[in-house]
Amino acid sequence: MAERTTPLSLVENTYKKTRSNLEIIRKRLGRPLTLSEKTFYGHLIDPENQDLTRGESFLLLQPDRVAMQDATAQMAILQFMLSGRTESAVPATVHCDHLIRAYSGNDADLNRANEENKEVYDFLASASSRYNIGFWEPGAGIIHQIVLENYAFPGGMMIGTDSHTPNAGGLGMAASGVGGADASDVMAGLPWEVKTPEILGVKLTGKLQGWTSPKDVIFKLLEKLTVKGGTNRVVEYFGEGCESISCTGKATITNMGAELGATCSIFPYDSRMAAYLKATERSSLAAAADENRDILCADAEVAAHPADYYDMVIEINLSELEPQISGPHSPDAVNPVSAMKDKARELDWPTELTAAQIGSSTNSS
Amino acid sequence: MVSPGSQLVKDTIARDGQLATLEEAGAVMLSNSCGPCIGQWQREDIPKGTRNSLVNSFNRNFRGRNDGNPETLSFLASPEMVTIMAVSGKLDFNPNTDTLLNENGDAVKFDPPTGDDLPQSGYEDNKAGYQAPKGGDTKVIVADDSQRLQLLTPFTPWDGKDFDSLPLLIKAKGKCTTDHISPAGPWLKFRGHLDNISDNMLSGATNAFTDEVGKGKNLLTGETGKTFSETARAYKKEGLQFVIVGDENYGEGSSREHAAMSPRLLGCAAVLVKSFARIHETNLKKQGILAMCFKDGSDYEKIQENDRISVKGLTALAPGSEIEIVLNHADGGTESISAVHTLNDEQIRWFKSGSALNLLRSES
Repeated sequence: MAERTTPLSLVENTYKKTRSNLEIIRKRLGRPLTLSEKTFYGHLIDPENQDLTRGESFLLLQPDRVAMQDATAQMAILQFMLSGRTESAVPATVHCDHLIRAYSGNDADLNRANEENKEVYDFLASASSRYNIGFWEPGAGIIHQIVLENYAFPGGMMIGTDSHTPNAGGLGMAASGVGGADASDVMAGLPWEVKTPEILGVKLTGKLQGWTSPKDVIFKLLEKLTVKGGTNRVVEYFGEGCESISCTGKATITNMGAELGATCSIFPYDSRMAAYLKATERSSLAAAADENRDILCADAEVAAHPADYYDMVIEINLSELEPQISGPHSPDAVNPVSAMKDKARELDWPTELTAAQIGSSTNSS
Repeated sequence: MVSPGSQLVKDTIARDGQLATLEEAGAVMLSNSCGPCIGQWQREDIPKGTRNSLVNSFNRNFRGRNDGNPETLSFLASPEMVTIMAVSGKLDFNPNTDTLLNENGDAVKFDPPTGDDLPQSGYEDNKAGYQAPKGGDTKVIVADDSQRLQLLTPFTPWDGKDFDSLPLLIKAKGKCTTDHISPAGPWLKFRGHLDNISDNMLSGATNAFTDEVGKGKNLLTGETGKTFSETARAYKKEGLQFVIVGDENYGEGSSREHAAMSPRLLGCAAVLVKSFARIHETNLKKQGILAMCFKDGSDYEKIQENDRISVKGLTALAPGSEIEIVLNHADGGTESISAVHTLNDEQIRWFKSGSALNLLRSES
């Protein structure tokens, strides 16, 4: 069950289950569905009887996979070991990325981490091996990037024991950050329970220009909604601007949906996702997604009348978007680059930079 | 500094030349891990307390998050902007309007960046770093004397009896989040060792009788100013369980499981509050602790520091049932109050089994 990448059979099973769930849900609701509804309701354990009141009821869901980072995985696996199961009930992976301290560069830092955290790594590696959980060694990469490269797929649902798990939304996966208890429950075969989210529709028009980057889309949204604006909401992107953004650019945007407090963020399946799946040796998954495009995008009526289906709609014209700088101290303190000179003077920010850092799970694909 | 997201990305940029360009420009390559993005950065170039600005393409810029220095102003931008700002050395550099001097002393403007969104020759995947599971014969490695890891022992099932005159451990006042119940910070290194981390139990909670934080009275010895974990461990030694009383929205915050596991380990039988944050309430139920709310919130005022608390009629526990609580005050007086709960049939079985995992295990 624990494989190095998501097998086609798992994806096909998910699409089949989603279709049969949606048949029931469509009868119950009798109206067009958003992409978030298709993905969440497609993973319901009891689609006949589940209470679907947004913002009030709690959904009982069956995620397709669980991912854990090395700090939170410890208690999650220790608890799972008490469940009596011989292996995880769903495909799961552990990723050693949090316990490595940056000091003098790759090799020395890794050696030191291996020494300092030996007992934690030994435990996680041996327990993963025993309970059929994939184990990614220190230095292999950051959990969200490894998931994007190997495990995420359009229309899937996953939980991860890290707040930036929604990164996988760039590849069309409903991916939420949870605590270790939720991960051990799902590995033990219990459902994942989450408040029925409201749905925030973000319409993207136009095309990014010049120095503007996908990251500026989420900065703009943070400025509009603040760090609390996404609580108990799924952020669903739609509109022709989506396809102008690469799959990894989309992942940057959904990664930082966590800064809005959103349950997760999700993009509809498109050619850019297909291209990324092919580039990462997953052409068969792209073909399966092509055949199931109708359950990987919102119904057409939703895009035509978004206000009727989303709890809130925000429009961002990518062509008019300027590069943004966020900070200090809060991701929603956002200024366009053209305002930085005045802001720095007004607030007496030191303008000489002491460090500049790129990469991380937010932007490194 | 460059933190590649994965070995795949690093191998690809090494092959295609971007890595050499970055190193030529003076960049330090860090490991493929979270590093400074989550504060795992042992920074020595700027002394703590020195006000300074830095920019990165990460996702959070809370005070002190990157380098542990509260005086650092951390700014976020796209990787393209961070790179051009690094070249200019300026926080307020605007590549659309500003110029820099080249080696000939001429003022030049940068063209906007262009590039492929996927590498032309594909990703360089060396299939490294993954260990496939071997299955049921693998021995799980935990050293007996480990301070960071401890295998869990199943909690004891309910003995079928009412709770009789259990000491009150704490009446918490005001905000009591999972951070107050199980603080993080230095305790995080014990997150795999339940017994060790439980020394932090309720160390951030405010004692309603004394306003002390993290301290209260041992009802057996009369000692005051004791940490709640000390007192709980003392009760446990005597074979006594205890009760926690809380205010509104008890347990709000994260879904941190330690906030329910530590009380359970140290002998908490019941938590009685004005209201719960839902996730924590569920976590308590999962660990086999009886989670109850005052039927009448004002009964919170009736709880006294030296109370022994009895919980009656537990054999009749059913969805929607009311629970009778008797407060045995130190002056010999008693008061009877009502509590409500939100346990469903399944969750009542968790309680009776001692935890949700106990029930799962007995059914597997």
